[in-house]
Amino acid sequence: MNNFNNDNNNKSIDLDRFIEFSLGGEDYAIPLLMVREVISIPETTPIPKAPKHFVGLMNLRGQVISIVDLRTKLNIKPDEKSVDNAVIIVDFDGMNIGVVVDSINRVLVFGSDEIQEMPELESQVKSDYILGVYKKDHGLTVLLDVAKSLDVKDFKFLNSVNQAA
Amino acid sequence: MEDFEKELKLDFLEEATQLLETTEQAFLQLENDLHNKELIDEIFRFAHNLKGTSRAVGFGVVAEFTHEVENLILKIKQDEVEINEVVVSVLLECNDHINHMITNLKEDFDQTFDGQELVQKISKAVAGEFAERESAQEDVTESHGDFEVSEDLINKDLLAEIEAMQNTSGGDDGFEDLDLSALNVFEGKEKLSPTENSNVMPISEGKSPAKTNKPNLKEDKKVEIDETIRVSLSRVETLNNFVGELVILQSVLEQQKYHTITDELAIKSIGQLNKLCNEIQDISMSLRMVPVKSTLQKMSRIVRDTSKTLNKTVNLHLQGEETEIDKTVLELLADPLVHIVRNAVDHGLEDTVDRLKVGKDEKGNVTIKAYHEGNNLVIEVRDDGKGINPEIIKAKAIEKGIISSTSAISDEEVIQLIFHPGFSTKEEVSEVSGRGVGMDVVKTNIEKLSGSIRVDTELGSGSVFRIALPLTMAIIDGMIIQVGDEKFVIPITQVQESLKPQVDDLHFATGLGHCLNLRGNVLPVKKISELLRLNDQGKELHEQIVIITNSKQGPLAIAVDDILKQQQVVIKKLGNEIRDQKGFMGSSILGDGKPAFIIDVEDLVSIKNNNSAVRKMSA
Repeated sequence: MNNFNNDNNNKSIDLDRFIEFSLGGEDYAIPLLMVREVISIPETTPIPKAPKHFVGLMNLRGQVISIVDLRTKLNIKPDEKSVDNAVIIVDFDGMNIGVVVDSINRVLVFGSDEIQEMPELESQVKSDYILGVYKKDHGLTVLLDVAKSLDVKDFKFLNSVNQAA
Repeated sequence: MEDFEKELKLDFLEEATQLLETTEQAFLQLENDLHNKELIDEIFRFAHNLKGTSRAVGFGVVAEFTHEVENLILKIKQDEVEINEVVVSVLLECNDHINHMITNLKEDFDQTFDGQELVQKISKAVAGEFAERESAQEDVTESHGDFEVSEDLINKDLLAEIEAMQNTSGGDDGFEDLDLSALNVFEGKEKLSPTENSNVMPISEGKSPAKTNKPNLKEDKKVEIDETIRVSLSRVETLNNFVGELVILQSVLEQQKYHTITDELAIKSIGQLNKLCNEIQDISMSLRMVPVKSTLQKMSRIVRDTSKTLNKTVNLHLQGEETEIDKTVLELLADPLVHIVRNAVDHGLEDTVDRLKVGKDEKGNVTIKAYHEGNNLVIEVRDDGKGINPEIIKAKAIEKGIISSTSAISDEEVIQLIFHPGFSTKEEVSEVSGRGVGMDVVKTNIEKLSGSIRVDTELGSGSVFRIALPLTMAIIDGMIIQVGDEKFVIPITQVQESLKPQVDDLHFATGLGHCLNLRGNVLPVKKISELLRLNDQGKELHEQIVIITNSKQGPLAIAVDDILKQQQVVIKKLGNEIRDQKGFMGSSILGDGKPAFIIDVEDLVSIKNNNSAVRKMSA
């Protein structure tokens, strides 16, 4: 994860693998190593009083996991036509969260030197969850910091506050 | 650091922690039986082991300090230093220091410690300065430089031990090398049996016949080494998860048995599978259970230290050490228990003088007893001291404004006031019990474990603190309720009763909301769908079912669409991402394979605390 947070991209040119998926009509990618597994949309139990992007709880072979809809969270209009909706189970240091996406596209392999940073524009909406973009033949793939996009830090913070109290 | 090395170190620290518990017990035994040769041998072996292994895995600090301790024990062993209570105290302090080091090393491998003061104490002890009589003074400071090793020193135990060290740490310091050279001399005389030769486990059970008269220690070790393995809790939890899933799948199959499956053999197999599943579930649940022994034994140290400070003599009796309880519960129980035991010795028991005055034995007795009662584990801490005087408690409570002087409450209730926040009868904060933690904290901690505590006392003859805890926090009895399309679980412990309300018993008043007249008591009624902000089935209140719960602020009626059934559920923690959601204590997977939230009524209603008016009315 961290090797493309570095400012000097030429430092490490190791190839990394990413999983590319679609949200609405847009392509996004996250490091493959964060992915625990990919499953089809499961039955869920709604979570009372939770923010809108929380779809519910699911039972993954005995483990209870929260499912979130990244499209709702990022204000992306879902692709109504998609029939390959899937859930990516992402692992954040042992904490697992399921992320609903429109479809899984492929696994990308490229070096960190091929990642371009986003130009900073004043008019942009909050976009600190975008790590960079990868240019491909037709269009762009946005490299996503899932943890930031879902405010995982906030969960952990809340959790530590709860424990201290 | 290499992963392998790190693992090695962690393993060592884990092992050392266990070892230290055993040595502490041995030291405490030694105090009562100062000249028990076998005990000293045993302790020597422990120290020697610890030194060897700590050096082998690269904890020089521990090794150096342990070396000093070993040195002292060796002197005791050789009768060069007389053993007395002062020396034992020094040894116990050393044990604490090593424990301190081990605990801190777990956090940071490179930590350093200052043990100078203790080392000086040790060398004083080695020099015999604590001896009551003048011991034979030899040049004792550099014992391991002494080549004259007498034959009786190299006993069988030591031989096996040295053999073991040779295999584990490669004899990497001078002491072992010297002993080894001495050992060679005796090898011919003392034939080692093959079993002794293979004795390479650090805390392996010695095969020396001399040990048979110490059944206690021997048994402990046997349990630790021969018949148990250490498994990480997370693995057990994973296993439990899978087993839970297995049971759910099984119940699906079981239901299908009568509908879609017609094959005789298949039906029979499903039946057998069902039995097997239940067995497996029982076993996997029992894996989390551990005997309370380790925690109870720690109390003997607490009693010893407390009584020493207070100059009281106390006999501690432990009963039911083998009683089992969930590991997590046991760990959280330790602190409250320490507090209660300290209290029993400090406040409960009288001074020796006072005891003699009232015709009691000069030695006070504290009994800790653990046993199962229904689905609970009960731990009793009993002292034969002066008991608690309700008059004093009452006066204090009035003074502190906890109760009013006019309120009529029974002595029984008065006594329970000691658990009230902000209550402490001892004026001055004593070194022993007054650590800013009162009995109210004890009570809160125990209630956090869904347990309860109460005290019974008889003036003049003592008090009993009785803690009742659920056997496991992993499984609870739950009531499955229906709200709209969703199912939720309410722990049975929070349910007082459930009923279908009559239209006549339901009232509505603006400002109060819905109320229920329950046999003359007026309770506030809350729709659970409103509390959870969910859609219900749109039933009228009198068509719903109300569950009466006992919350802190008094009884409360909660209206639900339906009660489906009552069953045991496995609690699963909520993920970090939703743990801050109020009102839930966890989730569980129900028979249909879907997760359901387990409701914590207290937590849920505390969000919308606008029932106070009704509560005051009903009070």
